[in-house]
Amino acid sequence: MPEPAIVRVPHETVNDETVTLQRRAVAEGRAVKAGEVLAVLETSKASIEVEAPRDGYVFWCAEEGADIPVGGALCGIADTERRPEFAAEALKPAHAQADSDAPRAGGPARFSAEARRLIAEHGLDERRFDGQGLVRGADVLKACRPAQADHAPAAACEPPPAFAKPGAPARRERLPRAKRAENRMLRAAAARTVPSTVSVQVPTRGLRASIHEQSERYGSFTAVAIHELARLLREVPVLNAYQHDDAIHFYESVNVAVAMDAGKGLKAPVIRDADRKSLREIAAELQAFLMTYLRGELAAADLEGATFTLSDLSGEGVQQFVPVLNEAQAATLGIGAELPHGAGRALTLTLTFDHLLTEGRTAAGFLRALGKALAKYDRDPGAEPPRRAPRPSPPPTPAIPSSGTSCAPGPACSRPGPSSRTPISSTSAATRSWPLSSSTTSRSWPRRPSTRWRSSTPPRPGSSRRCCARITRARPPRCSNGSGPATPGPEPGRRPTSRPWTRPCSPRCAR
Amino acid sequence: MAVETWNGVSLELWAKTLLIRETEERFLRLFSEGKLFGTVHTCIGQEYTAVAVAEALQPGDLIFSNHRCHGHYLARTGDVEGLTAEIMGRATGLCGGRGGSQHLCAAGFFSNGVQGGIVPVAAGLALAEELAGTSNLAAVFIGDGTLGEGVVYETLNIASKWALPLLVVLENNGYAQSTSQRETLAGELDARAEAFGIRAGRCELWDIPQLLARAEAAAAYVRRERKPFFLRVDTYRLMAHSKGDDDRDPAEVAAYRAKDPLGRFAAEHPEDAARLQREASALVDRAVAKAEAAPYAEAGPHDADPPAWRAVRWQPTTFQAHDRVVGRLHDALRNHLLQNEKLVLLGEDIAGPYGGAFKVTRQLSLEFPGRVRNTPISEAALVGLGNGLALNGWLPVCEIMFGDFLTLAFDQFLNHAAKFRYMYNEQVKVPLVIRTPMGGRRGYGATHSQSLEKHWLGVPHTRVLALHHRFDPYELVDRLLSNADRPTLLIENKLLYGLKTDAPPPRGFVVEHSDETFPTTRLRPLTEPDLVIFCYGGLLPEAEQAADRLFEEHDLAAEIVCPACLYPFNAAPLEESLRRTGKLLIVEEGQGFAALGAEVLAQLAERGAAPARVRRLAAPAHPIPSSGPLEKALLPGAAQLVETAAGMCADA
Ligand SMILES: Cc1ncc(C[n+]2csc(CCOP(=O)(O)OP(=O)(O)O)c2C)c(N)n1
Repeated sequence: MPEPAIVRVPHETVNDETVTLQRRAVAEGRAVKAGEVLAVLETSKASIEVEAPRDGYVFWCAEEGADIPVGGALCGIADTERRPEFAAEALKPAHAQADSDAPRAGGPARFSAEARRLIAEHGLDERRFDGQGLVRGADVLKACRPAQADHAPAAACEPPPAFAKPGAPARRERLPRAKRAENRMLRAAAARTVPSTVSVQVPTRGLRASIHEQSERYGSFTAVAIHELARLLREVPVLNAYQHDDAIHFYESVNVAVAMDAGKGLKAPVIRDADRKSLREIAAELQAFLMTYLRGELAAADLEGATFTLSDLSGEGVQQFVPVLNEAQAATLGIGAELPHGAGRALTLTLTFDHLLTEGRTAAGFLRALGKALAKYDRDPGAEPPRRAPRPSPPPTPAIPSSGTSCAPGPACSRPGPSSRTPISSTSAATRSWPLSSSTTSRSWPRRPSTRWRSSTPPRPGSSRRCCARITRARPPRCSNGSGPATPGPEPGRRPTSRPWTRPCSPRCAR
Repeated sequence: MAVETWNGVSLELWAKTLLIRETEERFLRLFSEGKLFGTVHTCIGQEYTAVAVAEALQPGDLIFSNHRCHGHYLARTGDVEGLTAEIMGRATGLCGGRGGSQHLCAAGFFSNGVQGGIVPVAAGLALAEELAGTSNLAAVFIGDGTLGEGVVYETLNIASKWALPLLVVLENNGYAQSTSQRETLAGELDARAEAFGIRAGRCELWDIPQLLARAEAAAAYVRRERKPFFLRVDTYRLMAHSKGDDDRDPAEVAAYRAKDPLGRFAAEHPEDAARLQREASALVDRAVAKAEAAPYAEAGPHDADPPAWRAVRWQPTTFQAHDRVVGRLHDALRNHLLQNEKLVLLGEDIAGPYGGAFKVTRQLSLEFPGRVRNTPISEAALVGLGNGLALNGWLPVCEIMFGDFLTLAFDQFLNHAAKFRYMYNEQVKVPLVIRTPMGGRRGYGATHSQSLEKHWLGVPHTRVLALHHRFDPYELVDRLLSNADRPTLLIENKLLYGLKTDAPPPRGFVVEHSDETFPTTRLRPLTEPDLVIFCYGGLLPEAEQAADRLFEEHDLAAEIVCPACLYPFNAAPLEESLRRTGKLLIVEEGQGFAALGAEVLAQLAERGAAPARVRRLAAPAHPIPSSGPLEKALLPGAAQLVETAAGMCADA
């Protein structure tokens, strides 16, 4: 009987070492066809589906709710209806096998548990250790040290103070996986940005109500906000960028993440190219995301590639809040509720931005311009929503981060989340007139992961909605060097031994 | 008046016999004058057996003789000078003074002073002739005392079963040193051979025409029938076993002396005898004079294995075939069987379809009939056969089913294979390969689970290899069979057979091999190592697991150094790794006392390269239990390695 095909946890979500088997989509022993969904896995970012790589009968190796290492076995697909014997070896995670070469040649490093702990503690980005092979705790601390010595702001590198003994007893409950992953990102962002916040109160007459009344036309308030801010961002590219290595890296597209939290955890699906989409398109996409969110089916790909984040709490009765900067983003916008103010109403827009990139003046200018843009939708009998957003007036001085505020060589910037989806332009910086002077040159991301040897490349996160487990096991490259043990086939013409004459050759006694 | 024949025997034969007598009597005199090294076992009184057998043999035939070999050698070669010089320790000796009285080699003649062990070697010579399809035979001389050795019967059994052209000549002189046969041997002597279906013939020394005829007939039978023959010659040694140590009844000795054929010949033909004796004496005089004029043997450049210490260069690991260790071994053997028609596999249960206890040889016997052979359960004999094949130009690969039973063949490895090349003064090479599974963790218990390699280490002119899954076993065996210049023991840890040869190493580690023929393998962490783990063979997977866990759980980077060649051992690669960390953890599955780890440390210390911190892990002084958990707790593995390494690094 042929061995069953083992379906493994795909290497989709690079940050996760384990995933949770949320749901078995096929019952034990039941037949599946290739391409059918086998299982739903919960990763730190989202749920992913695993498809059957071939036809056959499904026999599970893991229980629902179990944590399975990446590369670990989910189930086997056999040719017959009898449950096969799984070889213990086959069930071992194929993780090491696929990635054994990676830590070399600039690939992702391997971290000890201690190193991972310290990285999380210090909010570092694992990717800064790319190409370093094995990273131990001491290596992480070493990476922090120069920053400590040279730069006061890099306080994030200092070992955090010992946890003070709490004064009252408490019950410990581990943070959920998603929260833990989010925290890693937030710490990473916090580690190398200097967040600053500017708020602007925008007087309104009944903006939300106005948009709501014309929802056929405008969709929702959030959609309008995205629509307007995205186009504004095109004009203020420094807020659609990230800082690394004393350089601004401008994103080439405007991908707006929209925070959603309706009882199913905080998620931020991304509206891509929001600056180029019509309000109608944005509204439809947002609606679709919301439905997917409520079904708990947001995929990893839906959540990746953001260049800017919007948290719209205008419907929540919150007057004002300070949104937290995300990894590899220059700014994030928070919208508070539209509350009575004086004779009319007012809406508070709050922008948290990275002071290493720009300063409050630019941020305030951006917010005011946004307020103006939104005002077009406000109750003003006869007022049409504007066809085009007004151009904000440029501030007088370019917003060049001074080297004094840079954190280099402190904790490395993380690579931007959507690296594969959002190419970063460094050359385009010079062609933009505002707010950056052409003298600021920016280097493109210095360390790209080297090409890995894979017999077939699994779909990258972000390139496909569905994650398929059809990942064939990667092998070390076949060496064509004939001299090594690589080609052990018979070599024609080669005799293994040239044997010495064992007989002595002295003459025999004559008979 | 001069005669042509006496007693129907030509004077030429009397001359040969007399020459042997004259030479050995001179040896005894030289011995008492202190001019000989060591002892001599003379065949005075027994010479005619040697002459009769030599008469019956043909030029291509081979002889393996024992401790009492002068007569056999002289009857075959007439080389008084070479023999005399050899025994007097001169460089002009037939083995350059290395072999001495009991270890002769020339012109298809071999001797070794190990009772019994020579018999399977002689059978191996015969097997080689049989495989080559010649009409030659091999003759082996044994004394009646040697009938106490089990390996003789192992060989008789095989020789009969395989129909080997082997002539066994039993010189039945009634004594083994001082011990009478009546004290030690039960049953009929000839019946021993007949029990194995071997034809036996009997004659006595005192009837020379009968002796000549029976020897002739015996050799003719072997040559014609291609079957063994057991020729018993009743005889008597007139002098002491070796020097002056004769405790036999003087009356008994005197009675036989009266029957001595040479004495009777001299009594009846005093003039002929005197003339022949003068001629023989002159030859011996000249031989002694020449020997005395010759220089003593000197140490040669190849006498000792050169120091193994050699700095190496490292090559990253290359692609290995997608197979398991057992498959790679099989393929290597098969490929060499195809390429080299002189390759022979011998072992218990190795024939197909069973194909060996660990399935290495699979169907090879069906593909190479006659060259892949099942042997009886006779470890000593099967390795002895290998020795004979190797001496006769073949390439034997002997499989010992369990390494534990290698002990039964130790004599063949140590006292035969390892010695031939040297004591025969480089006239031969012994490309003998012994493969055996070693090691525990399979619940086989105390006698089927040991790692005994330390007992085999350090035998000069041999090699001990331990394969592992990180260096392609195909390549290892290929190199071994392509460079089979010395007896080699290949240790195959049982648990390795099933391992994949293309499994990638733990993440963050690279596998590298040294440029030695039988390389040292290094698992190098992609960072500065905290310590070095030294292991070999079956412990490599355990050490890898340990390195993986040490990193993950203890934040420690371990570098693994794993030699394939345990002897001669090159410690330089290990020393190189230790330069970067002063901590060394040695792990061995066998007993640690006086084992490789101890030797490695001694060598490092002598070089001033002793690591600052050292721990050795080995099996405790305890036989191996069968019960799984007990055995697991006993044998050092990943868990102990992790614990010990973490401890070493914690309190450093
Ligand atoms: C294996 C072995 N055990 C012991 C000895 C020591 N030894 C040398 S000769 C001899 C007696 C041999 O007796 P036998 O085989 O009858 O031959 P003989 O000396 O009578 O010719 C012994 C025990 C040896 N050489 N080899």
